[in-house]
Amino acid sequence: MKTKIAATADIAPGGIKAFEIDGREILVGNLDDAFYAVERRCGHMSAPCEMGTLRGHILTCPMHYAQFDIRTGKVLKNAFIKSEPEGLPDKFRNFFEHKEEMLEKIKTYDLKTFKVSVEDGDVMLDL
Amino acid sequence: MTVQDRKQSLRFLFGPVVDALGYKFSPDEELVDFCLEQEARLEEKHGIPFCPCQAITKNRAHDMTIVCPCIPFHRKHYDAMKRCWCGLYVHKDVTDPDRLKQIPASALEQKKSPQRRKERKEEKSPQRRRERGEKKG
Repeated sequence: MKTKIAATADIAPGGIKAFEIDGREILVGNLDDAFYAVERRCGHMSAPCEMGTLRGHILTCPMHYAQFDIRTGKVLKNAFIKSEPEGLPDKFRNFFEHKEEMLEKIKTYDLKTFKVSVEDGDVMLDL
Repeated sequence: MTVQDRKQSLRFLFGPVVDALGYKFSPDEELVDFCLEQEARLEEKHGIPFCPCQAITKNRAHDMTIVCPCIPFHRKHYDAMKRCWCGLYVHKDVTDPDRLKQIPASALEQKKSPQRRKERKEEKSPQRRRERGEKKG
């Protein structure tokens, strides 16, 4: 079933925009006038990817900088979490270390992709 | 994620950056492939694609100057060699990267220093030669 999600002019070339359709969160990107749709939530920790960047076909998550190919949804770079906070009291440092230990165990998964077509100046999504 | 995917992404991301700096990827594809593979592995370990040919010191200020492409931080040095330290990038006009040699930054500084130039000139002066007992010619 095809659903109109936006006019082509709503998403500028190189731009990304998030939509919610039938309870699904979807991110649509315009790659030189070719439209691609993937899950909006990052495959690592579900951060909203529209707050990240799209450079060419590379979508970068704003949270831990995982990168995905917007055309295929494939992971191009795993999320990186390790930080070395300096000058923190032991109590906080222990908290960060514990948090990082947990975060390191979270895998980054590929994003689901959706079929997109352009019809009469509208971006149509096939769910 | 595969190393191959990451290598392609790094190539895609770095290409326009070095292009604006007057450099390009070396025509030596084997070397480029090897360097990018090392960078992908360093990125996996440290989160940052550090230069694979320079040492990470854990001094953040220094380490940030060896994040690939590190050309802006070593501009004079690399421009003199017409390549970056690894040879991953070369000047746009370079067609034969094998002819370009690695020259340590310290050697270049010594060569260019006005003090050193003055000393060398003095060494060649006839008076000095006479003092050393050298013959003319």
